[in-house]
Amino acid sequence: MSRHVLSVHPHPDDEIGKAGALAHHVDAGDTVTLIATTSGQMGRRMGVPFFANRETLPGLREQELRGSCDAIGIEDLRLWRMLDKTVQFHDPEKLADRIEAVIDELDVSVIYTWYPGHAVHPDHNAVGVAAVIAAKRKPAGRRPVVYGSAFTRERYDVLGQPDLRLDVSDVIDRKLDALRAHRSQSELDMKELDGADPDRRKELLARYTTEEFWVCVSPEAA
Amino acid sequence: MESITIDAVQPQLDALVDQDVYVHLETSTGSYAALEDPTRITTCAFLRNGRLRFSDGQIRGEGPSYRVGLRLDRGWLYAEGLTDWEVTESGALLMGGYDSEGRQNIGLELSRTPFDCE
Repeated sequence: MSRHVLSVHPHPDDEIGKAGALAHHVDAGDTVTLIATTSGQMGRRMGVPFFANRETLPGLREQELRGSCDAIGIEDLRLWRMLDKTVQFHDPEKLADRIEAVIDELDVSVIYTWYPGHAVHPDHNAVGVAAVIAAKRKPAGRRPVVYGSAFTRERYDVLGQPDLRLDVSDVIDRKLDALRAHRSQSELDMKELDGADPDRRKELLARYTTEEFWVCVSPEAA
Repeated sequence: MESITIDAVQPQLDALVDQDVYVHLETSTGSYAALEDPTRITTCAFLRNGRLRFSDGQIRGEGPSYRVGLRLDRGWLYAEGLTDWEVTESGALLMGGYDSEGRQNIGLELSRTPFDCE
């Protein structure tokens, strides 16, 4: 049965860490909706050599995100355009209201977001918290499963091994195309990858071919 | 944007003296400074659409990076490490400091009209 999947993050390019999982959903016939709560307005990377500035960056990053969605196969992109770095200062319950409205509208059964407290950037954590609140409001049976990405140094010590470890080698070209679409942010990494000898390339690709997720909300638990 | 020269930027500052201007001022280590090196602390500050007036604005430096000081009614605004500048179509003066990998370390922008901010 086809499901509706929601991926919700603060920044254009946050979807890259689950681009393989999302591509798998698309290939399985699921529908994917992506929410970027900000336009990444305060990002430091401006391209190499830089081609963006603080005022042109948000529009460029929205365009880049559209390119990334095309590569993955995501047709429903929603831009909330909150100011980068300030999501953390919004009332989590109100942010959860907005996410819950999308869950209800689309009958979402799977959510990908950042794992609260283990996502380093304060806005990552804030969106993760709000997504968890929104999912937990749904009664068992209609509650989406929430998968969180984590990248603190201590994630394995605190959270244990991931609940889901996906090999996304089969869709790695689409994932790299998505990453390339975020040119202002990924250019340096892509130059390194493209210029690498085969051994180094394999080493660099390893960070993209496996995706790890921890369950933040389980659909059955009370 | 173009590399800053004092001859190019000083007249732009002069043109904004003694009037209400909106300011965007920022600096950042990057959001992952502490992740990449746990001995560091991630540090970031920005002010967007602050309003101020300055009675004198000066740019100094020998290049490739420059300092700007604005004399305010009761204080100063200071920005160091600026490398590039432009004037936008809407007339905003943008100055930014970029490293060799295109990352913005500092920004100072001045405009008679507010910067986009939803």
